Amino acid sequence: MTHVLKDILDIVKTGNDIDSTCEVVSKEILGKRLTFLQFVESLEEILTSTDKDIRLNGVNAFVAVLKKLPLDFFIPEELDYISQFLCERFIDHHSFIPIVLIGIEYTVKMKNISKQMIVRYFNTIMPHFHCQSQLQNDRNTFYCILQYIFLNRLDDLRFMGPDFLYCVISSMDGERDPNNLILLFRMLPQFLRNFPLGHLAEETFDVIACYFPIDFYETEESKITRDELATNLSRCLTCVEEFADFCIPLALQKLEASLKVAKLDSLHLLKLCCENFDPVKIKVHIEEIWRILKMIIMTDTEDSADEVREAAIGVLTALLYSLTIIKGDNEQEQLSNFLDIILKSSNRFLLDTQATLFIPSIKLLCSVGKTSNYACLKIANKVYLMLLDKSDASRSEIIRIIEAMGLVTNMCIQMGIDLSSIPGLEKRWEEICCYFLLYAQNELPEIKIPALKALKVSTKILTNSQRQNYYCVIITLIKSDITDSIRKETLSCFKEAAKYFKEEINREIIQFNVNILNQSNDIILKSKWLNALCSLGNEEYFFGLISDILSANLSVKQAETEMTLKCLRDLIKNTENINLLHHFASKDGLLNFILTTWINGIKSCANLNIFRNEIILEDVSFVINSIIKVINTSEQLQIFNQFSQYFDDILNMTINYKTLSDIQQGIHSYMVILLESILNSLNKNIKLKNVTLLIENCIELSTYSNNSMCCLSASRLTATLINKYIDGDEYNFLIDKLKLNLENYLNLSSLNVHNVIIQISWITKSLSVKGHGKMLQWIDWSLNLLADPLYGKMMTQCFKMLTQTDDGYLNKECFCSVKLLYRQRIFCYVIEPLISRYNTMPEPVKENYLISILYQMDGNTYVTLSPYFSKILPLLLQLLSPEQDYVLQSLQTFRNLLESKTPVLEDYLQSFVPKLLNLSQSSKFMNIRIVALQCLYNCCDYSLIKLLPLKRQVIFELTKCLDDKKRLVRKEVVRTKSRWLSIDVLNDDD
Amino acid sequence: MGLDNENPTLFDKSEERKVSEKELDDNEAEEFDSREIFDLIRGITDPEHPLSLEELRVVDQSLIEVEDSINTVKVLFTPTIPHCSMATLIGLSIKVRLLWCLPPRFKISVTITPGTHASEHAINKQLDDKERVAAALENTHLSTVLNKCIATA
Repeated sequence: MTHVLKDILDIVKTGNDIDSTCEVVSKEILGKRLTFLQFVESLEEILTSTDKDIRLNGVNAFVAVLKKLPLDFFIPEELDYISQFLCERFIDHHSFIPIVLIGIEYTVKMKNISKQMIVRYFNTIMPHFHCQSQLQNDRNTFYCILQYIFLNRLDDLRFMGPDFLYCVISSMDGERDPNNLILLFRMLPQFLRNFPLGHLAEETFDVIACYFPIDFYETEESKITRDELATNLSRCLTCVEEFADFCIPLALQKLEASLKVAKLDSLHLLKLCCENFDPVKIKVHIEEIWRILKMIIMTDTEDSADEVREAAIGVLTALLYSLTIIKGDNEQEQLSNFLDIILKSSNRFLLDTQATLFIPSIKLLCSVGKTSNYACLKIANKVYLMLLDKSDASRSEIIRIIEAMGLVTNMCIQMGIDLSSIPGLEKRWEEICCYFLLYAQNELPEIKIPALKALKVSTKILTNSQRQNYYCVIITLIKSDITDSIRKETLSCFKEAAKYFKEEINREIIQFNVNILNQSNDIILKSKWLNALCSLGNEEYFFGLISDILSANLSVKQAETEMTLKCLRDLIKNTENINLLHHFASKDGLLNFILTTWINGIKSCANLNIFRNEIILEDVSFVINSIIKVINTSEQLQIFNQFSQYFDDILNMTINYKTLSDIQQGIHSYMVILLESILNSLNKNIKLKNVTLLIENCIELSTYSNNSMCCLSASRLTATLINKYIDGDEYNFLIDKLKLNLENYLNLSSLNVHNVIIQISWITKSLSVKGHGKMLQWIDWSLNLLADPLYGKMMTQCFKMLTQTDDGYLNKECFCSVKLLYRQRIFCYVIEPLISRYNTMPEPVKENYLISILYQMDGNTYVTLSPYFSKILPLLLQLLSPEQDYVLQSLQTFRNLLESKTPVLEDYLQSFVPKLLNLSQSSKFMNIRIVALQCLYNCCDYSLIKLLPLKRQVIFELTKCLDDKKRLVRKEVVRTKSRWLSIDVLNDDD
Repeated sequence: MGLDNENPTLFDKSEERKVSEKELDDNEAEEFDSREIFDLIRGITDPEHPLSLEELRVVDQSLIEVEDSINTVKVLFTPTIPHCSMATLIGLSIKVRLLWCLPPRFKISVTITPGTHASEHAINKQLDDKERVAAALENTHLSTVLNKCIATA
């Protein structure tokens, strides 16, 4: 025990290794083998030394040991001595202050610290401590002491009154360190709210206010953000009522600054003022606030003003809320006075409907109106009357009046105000919607559209008779020939009405017209009605109806079937309500109807125009596939079980296409299309009985069928099946067998080679997507097939397919297995062989490799391309000359690379910019000239330093292009030239 | 500083030019016409407002004359108010935009629609003076403002 203390003298005296020794000492003390008193006594010689450095070491050791002891270690008497000791050392020498502060910081947290000790600390600190002459860390320690006191011991110091407050504010006066400031801003509100400010209120405010608005540049390392500082500062500035008199003028003064952040900060502060201060205080400044807010909200001199304007509107609404809560005799009077001011100043903007500020003023008034019912009524009254009384309005005025009335109506509806309760409108409120109804029937689309929009908003508040009128307008519009945008508005009105008045819509519009619809032969009219009906696909109420009407129009006449399927297709594609698709899939639903009808149709060789029409079949298969995709596995299983019997020939029996009769061949060819639409999105977990047989049958059909749609469907189905069900090595022989068969097919002259190539491509894609062990073999085979003079060109499509992600097939939604980054893997595997063969192969087949390279590049991003760039780039540059055949295609690839700002290209600007300039002038084809110009446009994304040397030449050459004979090219030249001209223009930000 | 015209009247924008079959045919040639010139300048921003010259109807297709065969382009523009102090700047931006975007063979004249501005003659004279236009472009402050106006065209 004693040996620890023996050594300690020397160690502390020299100042080396104090920490570890103190660690040992504190452990001894904790283990009761030593007392704190013994430790202090052993330091006597050091603490009384005449050399201040040695004394400092002593204090260091003292504090170090102290800090290792638990907070409840000392009894009050001991703690009293300790605090007395620390106070004496505090005034001993200025170099002691930092370490003593650390000691104080720790001791104030101790359990047995008393009020008297805390007062003693501050009595010592206040006269002898000048915070701002300390280092950042020491200031931080002091602020931490304050923070602890504010939170836990403020009552002990309350009797010190202004003296303590003065100590706090003088310690932070002039603080510049952001870390300290954020700490201060966070803790001050707590203190200020709980400590009387007295005559020092203004002083205190000034000390904090000098930081407003915060001027702080964030760097990457700084953990503090400007916004954080600003938010906390505003909170400090508005935390006590006494600040109100200083804070509002401050915010208003800084609001006139030109800096955007200053404006935003001031607006934020003003909003907090309105929320936190007594409305009576705000009232005094109200005219001044409105004057400035009006300027910001109404004028639009800057492009970036939107954010500021939003903030200003925020302040205005806060202000209005604040006014509504003023209590007293004249409760409404304050609000009413202010509203009068607002209305008066917007009055002159409301007079001229065509002026720029008309709509912004209306929008402003609407946000004012949304703050209270009183304001809403007052504004609605004023604006409605003003607009309704405008007589002989011109065409463009009417548009704006309708738009404005729509906005005000929306405001009233949102506030739950009944139009008939608006003063002055008791008798006239019906006029408003009549006005909309009237103009919805106007000839001019630019009037019709805003009127329809306004009607949509006011659907809920129309009277019975107005609704009858409204339905007539909708019916007429649906039936007539109108532009797409008007139809869109009409249908959204129809939808809105169907939301609130289902029965009425059903009775008045649908039932009434459906009978006419069913009897009519007018296909265009029918399509309009079907489209309108389909727009109600979100409302469950109409599901049955939609289903019935659609099935009634399917499968009778060719044109009608085509049109109905188109509507159905759009409906399925755009519907937001998934329940609709479940409804279609239900027992005896639309899906059941379609499948039964088409299976029967194909098998009985009925109406070929409908059941074997490729366009129709394509839509049918899309519809079936889309419905199956969204329903759950049990529903899928039920449908599959129900219909698999009809596909027995394909599913369970070996097909030998050549031995089949013509009729059978036809039936199989079309049935496989339906089968694909069912199987494509079927969950993997639903097992098929004989997959191998099915795959072989599909290949048989795809290679022998003369029907291109059948060939594609069968090939795709093969690919999907292989992807979903062929797993593990035991199937490798099957894949090999398929490959062997297909190789043989290629050599058969009797076959359509194109079909075989498509089949090979799909299988290759399927294996690659899945990452199957055999994929590389198939890719190698495809690479070799490119060299064939006969079908090499067709094979290039395979390389296109490999990079494409098709929405409907071989993806995860169809329950296929898709390996991560499979496209990148393929790219890395094929690109080098493709390039080397392009360089070595003879002329006619050479280009097959080139096309494949371009396809591969298009489908991958720069990250994948970059390792191979040095090999690809020479090839690309070689292509960029007018004599080349594939210049358009390679230019497009090149443009994509430039658009994605491929970094490597920056270093080659000097080589390809002249080539592009040459192409944009001398190519015979306008498309090439245009794409070359687009490439040049995109070049400007690179760094200025690389572009500047080229600028003169580019501008000079582009000036020649300005006289191009084609207008579209000239348009592109102007765009490109303007961009190049402005590359070195300075922006305000720079 | 207050604005000359705080609350100008807004007009509708015309639709984008439709691309005709003929324009897509490689063998056909199209002459410059007034719509093409209009398209070049209609998007220029007014120096006072974030609005285009078209929306303020400072420029109008009917006030543009083009004769491709004799290489002339004449543009008339109408300031929003007769004492608009920005008229010269607007004229200058139209002129500069056309100088940059038309082939050099054209003679470009940009003038104020007669009777729509207080100091019409003085401004027309300034805009017609090559030296003064060139000098204006050398002025850093002026060219910054000009570039800002033209950037949106």
